Amino acid sequence: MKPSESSARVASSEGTRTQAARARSRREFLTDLIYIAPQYVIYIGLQLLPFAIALPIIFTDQVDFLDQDVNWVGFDNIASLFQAPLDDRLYQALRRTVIFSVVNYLMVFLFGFLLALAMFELVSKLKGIFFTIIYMPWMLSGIGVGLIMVMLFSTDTGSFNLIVSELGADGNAFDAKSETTALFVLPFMYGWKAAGFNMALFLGGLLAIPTETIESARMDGAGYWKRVWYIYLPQIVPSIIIATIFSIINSFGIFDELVGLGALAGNQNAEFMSIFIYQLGFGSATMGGAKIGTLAQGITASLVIFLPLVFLAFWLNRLQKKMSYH
Amino acid sequence: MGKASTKNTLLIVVLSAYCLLTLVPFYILAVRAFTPTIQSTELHLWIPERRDLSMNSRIGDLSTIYNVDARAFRNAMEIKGYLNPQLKLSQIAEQYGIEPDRIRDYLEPYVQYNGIYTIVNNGFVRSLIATIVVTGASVLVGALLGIMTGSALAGFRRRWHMFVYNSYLLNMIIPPMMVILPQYIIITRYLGLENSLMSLILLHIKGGALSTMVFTSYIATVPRELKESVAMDGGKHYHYFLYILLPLMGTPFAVFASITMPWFWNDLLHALVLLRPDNYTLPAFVASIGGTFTTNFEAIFSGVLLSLAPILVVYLVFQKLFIRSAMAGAVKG
Repeated sequence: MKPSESSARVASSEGTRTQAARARSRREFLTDLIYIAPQYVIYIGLQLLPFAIALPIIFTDQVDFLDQDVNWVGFDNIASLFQAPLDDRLYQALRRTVIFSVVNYLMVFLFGFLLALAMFELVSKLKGIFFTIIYMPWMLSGIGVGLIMVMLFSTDTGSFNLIVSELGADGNAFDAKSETTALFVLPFMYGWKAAGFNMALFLGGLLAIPTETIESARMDGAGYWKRVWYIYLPQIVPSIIIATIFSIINSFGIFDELVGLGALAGNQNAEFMSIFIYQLGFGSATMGGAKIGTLAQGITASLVIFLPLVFLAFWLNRLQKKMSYH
Repeated sequence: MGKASTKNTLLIVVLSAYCLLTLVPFYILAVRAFTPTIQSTELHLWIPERRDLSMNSRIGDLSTIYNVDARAFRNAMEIKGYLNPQLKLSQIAEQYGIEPDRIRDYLEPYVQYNGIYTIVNNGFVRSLIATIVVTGASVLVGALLGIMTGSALAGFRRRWHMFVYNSYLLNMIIPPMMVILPQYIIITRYLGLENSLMSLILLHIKGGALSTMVFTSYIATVPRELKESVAMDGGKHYHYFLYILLPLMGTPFAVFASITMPWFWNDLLHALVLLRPDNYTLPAFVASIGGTFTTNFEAIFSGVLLSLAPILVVYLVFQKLFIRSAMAGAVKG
């Protein structure tokens, strides 16, 4: 539009201009909509609609996906989760999940944070190779990690156990199917798998600290661990919160690794919350698991157990945003 | 100066030790994938020598130890009717008038590379193709949808843009296990996509924190003048999208692809729930060999190794890209 033209227009009528602007903004709105809608429709349909589908089922006695004879039962499902015969399995699964999640969270720091500190301080050409190798287990599938645990820690056939007995200790050091393995060795393996991921997260935070801050602390004579405690840790709180959210969500939802440990093939010691919910929903259908309750109970359990987590993660997320802005 | 270099040496030693330890499980996996199940109780730090197929072994024993499918064997040897599992191979050759070499050629691979042979015979290749299709389509379509979303959201010109953006972030805090049961109802009952790879792709491309964040923030750095110049020349938004934006998306696409690829490749839960064995992707396939041949460790570990190999190769070829993306994702946080 040439300047002479536009000025002529302004002179001619104020009304046409606002009309034109309104038309343009409507066109812009439509364009936005066309570009946003394809993904958003799928997103609503598969991520938010499930909650709307789940809500009514909670109050029914729907046994499985094909059940035609569905009745309203009010709050019976929520009550039944905490009554015999389900309560025992629920508590056990919940207890295992919570212990696992706590240990798993420690591993985020044991692996991710310590490795990030080491890489942050390191001055060497080997840095790239180290990073490549540390990040490598992230390519492994969860089921692969579970089966590698079977490979290493099975009684009599586990390579790790065989090495230990070769070195002179008798008996089996570990049993892949035991609860101790699921609660304490599994987080270790998970920490190993996620080491590169968490390291990148923390390293990103460390690299964002202004060098002057670190230098001035060094000038003031702050020792290394003092610097870590008073400078590094407070500065990377946003990274820590992100790692915390990931860790909580992944730990509570852990599934693949447990399948590798035989959780769907009768290994009760590997029955965590996700396996419990899966068995309620799909139990009889797949891989030899037995039906232990109704689909409605499964959906109830998934909402009741995970909802507090979602709120926690939501709150952490907001906290993180607030902290990274100031 | 001396102190600093001592510290550096120490760090190199510690990190080298950690890296070596990291590689140990991979190494053992590679060895165990070629160690006969029957030798599982012995420690092998190297791939052990194989015994040749003995014509004195019974066909029944071969079925149990090496997962030889007796019916497939009968069909291949054109033996009609019942085959006594107690028969030795030499007796079979004699009784049915079959060349011993023909039997040997058929059975030798089972004994020599039992793991690989078993999984390939039980549908590994089909699962591999399914996984490549699902991962490839998910990454490409997911990126395209993400770029489209980003092209509209970038800059947050309207209040509702911010709302859309934030609702995608919600995806990060909902565990997949929480919604899988209702998702199954939607996909099978309302979309009729039972046992279809499409259902997996849909669940992957539904959008989420990562794709929205990566593409929106990158597109926000594309100079506004480019868009305005297209509009000035009378171009529509799709001209801008196709000719200006898409060619610039190399960097964010690399970030998106290298972070999501391991997720899509290794997605077990959705495959196990939504697919049936004839359509299984690799993780579900590996889970099913773990379930059916519970005793054939060689096949199980071959399955883990072979399903890891393709993505590991991609990772090692593009390692710089992967690492840069991991760091970029971290900084964005």
